[in-house]
Amino acid sequence: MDTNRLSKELREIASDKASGVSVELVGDSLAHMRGTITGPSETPYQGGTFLVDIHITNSYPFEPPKMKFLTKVWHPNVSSQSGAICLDVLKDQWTPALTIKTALLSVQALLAAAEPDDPQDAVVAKMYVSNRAQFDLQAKEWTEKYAKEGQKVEAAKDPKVVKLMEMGFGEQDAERALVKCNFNQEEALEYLLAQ
Amino acid sequence: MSETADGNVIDAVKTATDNAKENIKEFECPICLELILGAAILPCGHLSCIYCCHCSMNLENSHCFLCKKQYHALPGLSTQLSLLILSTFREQFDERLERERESSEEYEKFLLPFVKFLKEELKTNASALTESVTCTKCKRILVNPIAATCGHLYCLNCVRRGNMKKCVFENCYGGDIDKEAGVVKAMQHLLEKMYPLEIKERMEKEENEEIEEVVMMENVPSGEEGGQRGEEDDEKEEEVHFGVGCDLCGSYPIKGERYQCHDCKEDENGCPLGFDLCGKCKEFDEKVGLNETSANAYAAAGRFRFLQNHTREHRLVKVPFRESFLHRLKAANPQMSIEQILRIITIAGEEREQGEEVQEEEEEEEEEEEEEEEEEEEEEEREHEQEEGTSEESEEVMGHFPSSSSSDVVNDEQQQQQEEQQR
Ligand SMILES: [Zn+2]
Ligand SMILES: [Zn+2]
Ligand SMILES: [Zn+2]
Ligand SMILES: [Zn+2]
Ligand SMILES: [Zn+2]
Ligand SMILES: [Zn+2]
Repeated sequence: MDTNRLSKELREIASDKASGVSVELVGDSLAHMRGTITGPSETPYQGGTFLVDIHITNSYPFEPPKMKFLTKVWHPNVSSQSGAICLDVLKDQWTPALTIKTALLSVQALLAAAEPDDPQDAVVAKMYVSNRAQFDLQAKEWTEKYAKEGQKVEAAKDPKVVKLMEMGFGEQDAERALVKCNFNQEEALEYLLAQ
Repeated sequence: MSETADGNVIDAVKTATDNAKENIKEFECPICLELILGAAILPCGHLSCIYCCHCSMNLENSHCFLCKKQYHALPGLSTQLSLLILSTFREQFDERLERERESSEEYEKFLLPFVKFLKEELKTNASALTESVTCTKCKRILVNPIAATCGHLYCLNCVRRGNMKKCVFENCYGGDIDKEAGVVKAMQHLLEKMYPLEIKERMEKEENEEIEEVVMMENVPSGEEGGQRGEEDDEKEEEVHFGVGCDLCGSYPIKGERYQCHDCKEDENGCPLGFDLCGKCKEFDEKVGLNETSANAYAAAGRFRFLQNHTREHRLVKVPFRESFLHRLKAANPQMSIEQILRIITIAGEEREQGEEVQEEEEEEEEEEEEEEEEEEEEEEREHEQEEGTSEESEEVMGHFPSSSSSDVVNDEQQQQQEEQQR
């Protein structure tokens, strides 16, 4: 894993607030991130915030980042069950010149332009082709239901944060303490207790 | 430019360097996102570090990481472009080195040798900077530079007029010049800033000449014969040495005969990799003789891809073709590329890997905690074991891929082991 490049990518994404995508680390390694995509306007996903689970393999950037939606999405190329994404740049069209940011932007573009001929979710794709109005309605409903502020993504939460929360600390306090203590859980706990 | 004294040229380069500084973005390697260190130029004209390019190549069919144009050989180090980058962006170059020294595992093995070579070249060759911006053919400042596979640079017009298919640099093995070779735009833009007057003048002059030329070119049969290493020719049932490249012409993988040097050992004398030649280059070696000059001189001539210290006293031994499981996979799925096949069989392996990572994390955190979960983990483990059968071998291939080297002895041994395991 090219950690130099990954750090550089993260800095670049953080400095570009206008792109509509962002990324943050989950835990203390560069191998696991969480991406955020704003739903493209004039689509049923408008106004939604979609969370994407990102895993970086050791062969990155020669292998694509592994991405799947954490937020439930109604879309022909996204599994309504698992969040798996069917997108060529995340598979055989990946090149090492692409980045996590460009990959997220491609996913965002996929939300705006579905490819029902290459579906991930057959049920959704069928609805998309046969009854577009119903599809739009359902996609919008899901956006309202799952992709709005305060959505729950327990699965993606850093287990260390969860642990501290179970001990009765607030999520933000726990996160802050962990960052401060370099993600050492014991030190973070001491820090929180000393407050 | 040949009329100008070298001293003046260097001064001119120094002042122009300041104007050119803002072009640095064009010399960022698309793979490591750093200033290019040891430039490789693909036939399409796109750039990267030579090491990054090596890492990005596929076992069978490699494509440009930017425009996806297919290519068949790892380009040789372009000493010219590398020196131009080094001298123009010296500060950033050193900064990159510093960062790399601290964090990169590849630094010592794959980057430092190029840095040493380039700095040595600057020190010992007084005209190195002048040469870095000079056309190998017309010896004037490069206009619309294009590169041969060896890394030597030519004006687009020099190649077109001469209908050149091979590099003609005197010590060079004669790298191919692609029929549709693309201009190295980044370099052209930089040169326009460094030598605005010279370049403008030449471009205007040549525009007029070009009109005549186009008429001429139309009458020339589009150079089919010779030159390019035609894919089709090589395709006819030749033995493919997956994971091994030729260190003279860069062909990857080697198809047909393969010769391996028994005296170029990895890690000896700072040599990062072994040394292999394809059949054609072995012939060249015998006919012309890789002369006894130093490895640096070879490399300067676009010769050894990783600056190996190979000399003619070394013993080159023909490596018998060995069928590996890759060949069998390929034979069983003739319509698919090795990359596609590997992608499919690695998915299982990667999923297992990921599962294990999560598991490890969990184990760490929950050491003191409940035992209930242990049962779950055990169950998971059992599942993993079942998957293992299919994923093991694919994982090993991917393990040294993409850094599968152009001449990897270890590679072979692993392949053999895998074969034995399979039986
Ligand atoms: Zn690079
Ligand atoms: Zn290209
Ligand atoms: Zn020329
Ligand atoms: Zn050459
Ligand atoms: Zn060769
Ligand atoms: Zn040798």
